Amino acid sequence: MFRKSKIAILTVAIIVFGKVNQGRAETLVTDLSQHLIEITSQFSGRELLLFGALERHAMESIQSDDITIQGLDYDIIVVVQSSPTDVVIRKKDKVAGIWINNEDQIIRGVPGYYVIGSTRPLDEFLSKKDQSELGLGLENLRIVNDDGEEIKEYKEALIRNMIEIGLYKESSGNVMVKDEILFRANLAFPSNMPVGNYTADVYLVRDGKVIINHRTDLLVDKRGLERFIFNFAHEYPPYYGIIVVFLAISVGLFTGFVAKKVS
Amino acid sequence: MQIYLPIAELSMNIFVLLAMGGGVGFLSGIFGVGGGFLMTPLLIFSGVPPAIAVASQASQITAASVSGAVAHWRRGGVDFKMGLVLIAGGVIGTYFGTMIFTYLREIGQVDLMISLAYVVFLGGIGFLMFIESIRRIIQDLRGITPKVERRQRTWIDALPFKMRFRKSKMYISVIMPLAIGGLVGVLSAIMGVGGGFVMIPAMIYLLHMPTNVVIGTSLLQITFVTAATTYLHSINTQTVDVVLAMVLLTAAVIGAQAGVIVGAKLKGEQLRILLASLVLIVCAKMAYDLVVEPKDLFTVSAISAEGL
Repeated sequence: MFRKSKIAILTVAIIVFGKVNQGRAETLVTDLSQHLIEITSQFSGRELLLFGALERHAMESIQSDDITIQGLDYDIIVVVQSSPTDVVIRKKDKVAGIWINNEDQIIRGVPGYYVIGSTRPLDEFLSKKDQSELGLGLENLRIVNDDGEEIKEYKEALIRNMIEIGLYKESSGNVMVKDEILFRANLAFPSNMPVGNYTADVYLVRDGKVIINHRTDLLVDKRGLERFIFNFAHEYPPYYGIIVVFLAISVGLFTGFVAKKVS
Repeated sequence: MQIYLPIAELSMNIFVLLAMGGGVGFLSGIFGVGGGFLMTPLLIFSGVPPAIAVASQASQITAASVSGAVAHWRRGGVDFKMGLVLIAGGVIGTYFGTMIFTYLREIGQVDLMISLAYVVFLGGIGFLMFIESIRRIIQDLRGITPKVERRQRTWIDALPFKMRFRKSKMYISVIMPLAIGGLVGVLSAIMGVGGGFVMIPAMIYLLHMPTNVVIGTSLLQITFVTAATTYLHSINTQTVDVVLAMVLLTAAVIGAQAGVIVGAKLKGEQLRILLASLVLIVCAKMAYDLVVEPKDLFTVSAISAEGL
């Protein structure tokens, strides 16, 4: 009788939380400490906290009633990426004794920023097949040219270059889990991060399966004077040009004038 | 302290930028040059995309030249008619220069072109200056005074469309000054330099202009041509970063004032040999980077930033 009511509660819980997997109910709640990164004149990168909790009320009820469940050990994967962009990758060759750009490939739809972090190295808890299907990790990024071919050396070059300038990163052990309920990850964005829409995806993995994932949006945008200058330069190029020239001449004349007064 | 450059879309240490601007300004004050040939490579070496370095930097030379041009004009050291012809040539040259620049940027060869232009022009001019300075110093040591050669009539005098330049006391074809102005305009657009290092020798040795108007007239031309460069790059490539330009040029014009004071204490020949060495060092660094195998053969650039 008592047990039955518990099961009833569990059923309600399942309906309420709406996430069912292998008969267990879990809800993942994640958030970012900030949903907007404003790039202003002093911008030198930004640190954000991605945090979240796993709702386990239902499971606890079961546990207290000695229904065996297979532990609470889970792993978390965090992927932060910017909206897709198009890049051109150029390869240098030695021509007539000097190194010049000789070949290129245009790659469309690659993230301008891609960082993946997890509680443990991915291979320890998720099969290569699943990683590939979910597009997790740098090697599973879809990097193809206009003909749909993936050219290995260009793909490697892109990843290598992006890691070099801090826009791609793959690491593990940087998602902290507390009391098997709370988790957090510190995200450090570099100053050269592209502007645009970002997504932060959190995957909850148990027994080699992704059971829940949750997405949070992040907007990175130039603000204030920085946005104004950029827009002005692109929307009114002739006026922008004249203003820059005018400023340059003013500064030049003013300094000349001051120098004459001083000397 | 970091400062974000809105067009370059990266942040740089403002003190590094001020030091670069001030340092280049100081040297340009000592040697009486615009300093573009130092500033552009410095910016490129410190990670600013070459296209942005060239375009933003031109306005620094405008600022550096304008007060000099005004000072020379007050002293009567500017041949305005000649200046106008040179500017006309220069603006046409700048127009084609920015077109070449835009095209090469699209096909990914702009970095190469900037490097090659630097190696060829700086190498050539630096080498000539160096030889000339050494010869003068040797002559000084031996106590020989250089003979004043009578100007020979050359093929330049045979060109049509002659024009009288009262200030310079010359009656020559406009083709040559137009061509010189045009070449300087192209160089300004593709190298981010004022082009004084090409124009002054050309005015002296090809046009045979009197030396008292050479500097003032060339400064006038440089002011206008670099202004045109800034303007045309703003329109064609949108690569002029006003924040970068203002930080650099403010530091540069102040540095230049200090440089002028120091420069006045040095002897002309010493100055020339120092300047020649500096030019050759920059040239050698550019050449070295072209010849040595790069660390990574691949480069990645965002298409949106290239305007493809």
